Amino acid sequence: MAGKPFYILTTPGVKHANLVSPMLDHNTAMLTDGEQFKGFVEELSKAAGVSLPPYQQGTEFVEATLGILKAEHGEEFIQNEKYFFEGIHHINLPVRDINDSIRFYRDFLLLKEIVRPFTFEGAWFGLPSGQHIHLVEDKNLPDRSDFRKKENINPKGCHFALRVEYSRWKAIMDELDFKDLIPDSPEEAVKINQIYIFDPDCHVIEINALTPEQLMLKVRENRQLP
Amino acid sequence: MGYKVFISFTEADKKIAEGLNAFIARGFRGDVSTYCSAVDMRAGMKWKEEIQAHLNNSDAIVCLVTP
Repeated sequence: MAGKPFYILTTPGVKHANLVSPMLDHNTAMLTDGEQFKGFVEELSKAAGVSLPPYQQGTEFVEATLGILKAEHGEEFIQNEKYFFEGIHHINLPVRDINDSIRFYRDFLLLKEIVRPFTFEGAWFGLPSGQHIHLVEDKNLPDRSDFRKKENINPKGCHFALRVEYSRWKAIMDELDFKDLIPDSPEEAVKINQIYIFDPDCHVIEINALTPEQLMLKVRENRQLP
Repeated sequence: MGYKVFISFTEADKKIAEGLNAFIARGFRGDVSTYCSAVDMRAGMKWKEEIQAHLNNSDAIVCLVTP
């Protein structure tokens, strides 16, 4: 297949089509997006060296595909793809001492440091989802090294959350001896396993996990779980 | 010999694959031909060899990916 034009046509719900075949040079288009499908048809006609089909026929095919998908999966399946933004790309945290913060995020939270295209003091950490945590040093920030003595964490305040796989969540709980924080009935879908911690600059981080039972409910039954 | 496109899909997407196959065949007025097993595979064919041969002989590959 190497060397042949390779096109991936997706339907709503496919999140990482670009990862389907990283070894192959390919174009990706959403079948239910008229403009993207038109782009695919234009690429195909260029590769084949033939003239474009009438635009109307492409529109009809996209409409027909939408109809099939709506009939099979429901209206909401399509509507979910109408979001303008794809997701959160990164959060940026100002930190007083970049080395302290790198130690915290890399050595304590075990995040993977990734290459950063800037020279000013800072660090980037990547997550498997493609999202980043960016740190930028600002030595003028107030020293909050004694904040743990003065402040309580407010879970309703500004924070970000890291999701962890359940077996690792349990390992964290064992390591930190937080067993009493695990809900009594982990099977109960509404209960969330979550803890809140401070980073060296007092940024609040939530760490949470779904039990395998909760995950099953979410995936198989599309339950509205966190 | 026209330009040949191999359409790859799973059974769940058969209807969409058939639609795509019809669109390419009609839209390009025969300048682009397709191989889509949903339409072209006949009972009794040696499907593995058939698919491999069309894959090898195709000029481009279109892959339908669904959740």
